[in-house]
Amino acid sequence: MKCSNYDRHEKGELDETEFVRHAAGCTSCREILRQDAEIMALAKDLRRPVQAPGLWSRIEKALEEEAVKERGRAPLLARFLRLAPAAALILAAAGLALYFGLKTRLPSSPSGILSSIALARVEQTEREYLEAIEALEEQTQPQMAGLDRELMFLYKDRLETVDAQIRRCREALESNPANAHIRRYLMAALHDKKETLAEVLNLKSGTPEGT
Amino acid sequence: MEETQPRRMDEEALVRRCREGDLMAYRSLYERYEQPFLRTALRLLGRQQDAEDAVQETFFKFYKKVHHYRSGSNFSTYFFRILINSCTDILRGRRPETALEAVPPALGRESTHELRYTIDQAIAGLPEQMRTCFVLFAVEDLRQEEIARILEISVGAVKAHVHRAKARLRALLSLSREEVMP
Amino acid sequence: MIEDKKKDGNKRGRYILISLALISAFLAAAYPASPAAKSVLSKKFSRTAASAQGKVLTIDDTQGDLTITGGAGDRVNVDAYVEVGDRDEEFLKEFLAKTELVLEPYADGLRLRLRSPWDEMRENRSGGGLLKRLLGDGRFDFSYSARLIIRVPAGQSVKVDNSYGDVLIEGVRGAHRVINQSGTVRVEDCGGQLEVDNSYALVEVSGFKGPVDIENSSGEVSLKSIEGNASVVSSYKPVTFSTIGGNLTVRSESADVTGSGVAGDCEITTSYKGIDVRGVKGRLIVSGQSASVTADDISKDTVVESSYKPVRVTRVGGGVKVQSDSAAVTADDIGGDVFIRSSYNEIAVSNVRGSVDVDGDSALVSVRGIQGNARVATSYKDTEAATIGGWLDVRSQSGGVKASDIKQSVSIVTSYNPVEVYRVGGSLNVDGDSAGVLAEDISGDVVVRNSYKYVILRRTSGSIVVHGDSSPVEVDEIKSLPAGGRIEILTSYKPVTLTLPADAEVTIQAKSEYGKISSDFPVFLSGTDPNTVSTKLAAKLGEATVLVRIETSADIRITSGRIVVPGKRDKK
Repeated sequence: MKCSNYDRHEKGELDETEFVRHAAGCTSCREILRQDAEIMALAKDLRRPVQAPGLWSRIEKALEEEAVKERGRAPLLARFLRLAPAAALILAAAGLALYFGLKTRLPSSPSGILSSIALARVEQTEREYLEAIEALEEQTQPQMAGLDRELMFLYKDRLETVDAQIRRCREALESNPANAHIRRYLMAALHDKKETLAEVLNLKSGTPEGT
Repeated sequence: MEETQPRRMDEEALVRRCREGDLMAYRSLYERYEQPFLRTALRLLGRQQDAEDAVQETFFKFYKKVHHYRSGSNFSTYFFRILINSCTDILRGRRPETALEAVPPALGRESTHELRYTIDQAIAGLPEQMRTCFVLFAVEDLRQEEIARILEISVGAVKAHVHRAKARLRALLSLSREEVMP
Repeated sequence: MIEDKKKDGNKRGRYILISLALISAFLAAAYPASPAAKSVLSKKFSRTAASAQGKVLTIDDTQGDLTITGGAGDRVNVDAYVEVGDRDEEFLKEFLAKTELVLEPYADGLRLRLRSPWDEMRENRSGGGLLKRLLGDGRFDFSYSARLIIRVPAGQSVKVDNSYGDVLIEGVRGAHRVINQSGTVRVEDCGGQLEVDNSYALVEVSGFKGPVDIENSSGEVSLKSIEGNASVVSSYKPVTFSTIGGNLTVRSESADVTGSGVAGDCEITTSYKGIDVRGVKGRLIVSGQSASVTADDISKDTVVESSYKPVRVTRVGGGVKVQSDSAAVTADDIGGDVFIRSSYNEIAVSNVRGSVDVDGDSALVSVRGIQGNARVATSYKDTEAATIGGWLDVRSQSGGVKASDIKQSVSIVTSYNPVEVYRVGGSLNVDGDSAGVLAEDISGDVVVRNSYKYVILRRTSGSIVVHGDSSPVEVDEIKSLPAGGRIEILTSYKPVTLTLPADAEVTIQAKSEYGKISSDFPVFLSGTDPNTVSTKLAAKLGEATVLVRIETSADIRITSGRIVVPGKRDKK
C-alpha cells in the first residue's frame, strides 16, 4: 500500500531531509525512491547525441533565402520612415532613393550577389573577425610553444589549412568581391580560425586530453 | 542547462551579432543548442524528420523575430520557448489518429537495452504537457523554475506534471520488468 | 526692386544648396558604405543537345551552383542563370551580351561550359577595353554569380569540375566524378560509381547504388544508404555514416567518426576526437590516436589501436584486440578471444566466450565471466577475476589479486598486496612477496610461497605446500587429503596452526626452533638436538597415507577438526 508521505514530499509539504529519514524506515517509500532513481538514471541515459547531418546547411539556406527576400522588400522604406520628421526634403530625397532602389532590386530568385549595404556589413564582420584573430594569435603563441609536440603539429597544420582557405577565398574575391557564396566561405574560414585559436587557448596543460 | 554568467554574456553578444545579420552567430547558437533541441524535439514528436523540422523552424522564427528578444532576459528560456512552440505547431498539424512513435533505441549497453526502449515508449505515451515537463526536467536537466518560464505555467504545475509522469513510468516499468525478466 | 529680386534669388539659391546638402546627407545615410549604388543584372541562358544513356556529360571549370537531375529521355537540357553586379549598368549589359553557354560534343558525350569575359579577367587582367574599364579607377566592383540547372538522361555519367558553388546531383546512374572546392556536394539517389574531391564544405551522399570514394579536406562527410564499398579521406570535420552495403574505410584526421550499419568490413583512422561505430557485419579495425572509441555489435573480429581516451567494445562476435596507451578499456560480450594492452587506467573485461589476455601497466584490471582461460599482467593496481571457465594466470607487481570461481588452476605472482582466492576447481599456485594469502575451497593442490604476511587456507582438497618467510600460517577445515599427498608448511619466526580432520591418516613431522608444539593427536618426541633448543615431534595416524611436515621457529599447533561428511552438517 502506497504511503501518503511520498505524495506530501512531491507536493513540497515534506522536505527532503525529513522524507529521506522517513524512507529509511518505510519499505514502500524506499522502493518508490529506488524506482524513481532508476527512472531518472534511465532518462539521463537518453541524453545521447542525435545525428542530423545536413540540418545546419538547411537552416543556413533558409535564413539566407529569407535575408534575400527581406533585402528585396523596399529596404529604403524603413530608412524613409526613420527619417520621417524632416518634411518635404525627405519626400524629395525618398523619391530619388526609390529610383535607385528600383535599379538595385534583385531578381526574384535568391541572389548570389550581395548588395552594397550587405557587402559593407559583411566586410565589417570580417574586420571584426580579423581583430579577434589577431588578439587570439598573440595570446596563443606562448601556449602553442608549450604544447605536446604532436598536438602542436596538429594545430599548426589545422591553422595552415585554414589560412590556405582564407587565402584562396581572398584571391577569388579579388575578381568577384560581392559574390555571396565566396564571402560565406571566407567568413566560415575566419570563424574556423578563430575557433581553432580559442581551442588552443583552452587546452589544459598543453597535453592531449585525458592525460 | 544551468546558465552561468560568462555563458549569458557570451550569448548576449551572439544575439547582438544575429541582429546584425551575422550568419556565423546563428551558427554558433546552433552548435550550442543543436543537441538539447534535437533531443527534446525528438522526444516530443517521436520522429527524426519532424524533430529536425522543429529545430529548423525554431531558428527561422528566431531570425524573423530577433529584434523581439530583450537583452538582459534569459536567452535560453526564450529560445527553448520557441522550440516548444514549434513542436506544438507540428503536433497540432498531425492527424488526430497519428500515434507518437517511441524513438527507436540506439544500440547500447545490453544490460539496460530493453529498459531504455521501454522508458522511451513510456515517455512517448505520456500526455503532451506532462511529456514536455518530464523530458525537460529528467532528460535535459533543466530546473523546474526554468521549465515553468519556458512553458509559461506555474512551478507548481511543473512539479505536478513531473510527479505524475514518474508515477506512470514507475507503473509501466514494473509491468515491463515482469515481461523482460520473468 | 532689382535688389529685392537679387535678395530673393540669393535666398532661393541658399535653399537649393541646403536642400542638395540634405539630400546628399540622406543618401549617405541610406547607403553608408558605398559612394554610389550598384546595379545587378541577370540573364538566363538555355541550351539543349541530344545525348544517350551511358554517355558522359563533362561540366568544365564552372564557378557557381550546379543542380544536375536525371530523368527519362535522351537529351541534356541546361538553364544557366548568370547574375552580374557593378556600378556601370551598360558595362553589365555588354558583359552579359558576351557571355555564352556552350554545350558541345566532347570525348564520349558532351561538354558544358559557361564562357564569359570574366574567364579572361580571372586569368589575365591586362588588355581589352572591357578589362581596362574595370581597372580604370583601381576599384574592382564587378561581381559574378552563376547557377546552372541541368537535366540529363538518368543513365548519364557526370564529370564536374567546379568551385565556389554548391553541387547537387540527383537520380543519375553512371560513373560520376565531382571535383569542387568551397561548396557543398550532395549526391542523392544516384547509382553507378562515385568519386568526389571537395574541400572546406559538406559532402553528403545518400541512396547511392554503387561504390563511393570521397576526399574532402576540412569538410564534413555524410554517407547514408550506400549499396557498395565506401571510402572516405577527410580531415578536421565530422564523418557520419549509416547503412553501407559493402566495406567502409575512413581515413580522417582530428575528426569525429560516427555511424552504424556496415555490411562488410570497416576500417577507421582518426585522431584527437571520437570514434563511435555500431552494427558492423564484418571486421572492425580502428586506429585513433588520442581518440575515444566506442564499438558495439560487431559480427567479426575487432582491432583497436588508440591512446589516452576511453575504449569501449561490446557485443563482438569474433575476437577483440586492443592496443592502447593510458586508456581505460572496457570489453563486454565478446565471442572470441580478447587481447588488451593498455596502461594507467581501468581495464574491464566481461562475458567472453573465448580466452582473455590482458597486459595493463599500472592498470586496475577486472575480468569476469570468461569461458576460456585468463591471463593478466599488471602492476601497482589490483586485479579482480571472477567466473573463469579455464585457468587463471596473474602476474602482478605490487598489486592486490582477488580471484573467485575459477574452474581450472590458478597461478598468481605478486607482491606487497593481498591475494584472495575462492572456489578453484584445479590447483592453486601463489608466489607473493610480502603479500598476505587467503584461499578457500581449492579442489586441487595448493602451493604458496610468500613472506612477512599471513597464509590462510581453508577447505582444501589436495596437497598443501606453503613456504613462507616470517609468515604465520593457518590451515583449517581440510575437506580431503588425497592418499599419497602431503602437507608441507615451512616458515620462520611465525606460528603455524594446522587443523586436520579427526579421522586423518597422516604421518606428522613437526619441528620448531624456539616455540612450543601442541597437538590434539597422540604424538611422540622424535628427537632433540643438544646444540639447539628445537623440538621435534612425530606421529603416525591410521594408514598414514599423507605426510605432514611442519617447520617454523615459533609455536606449532596441530588440532583435530571436524569429521567432514559430505552433504551433512559438520560434527566435532
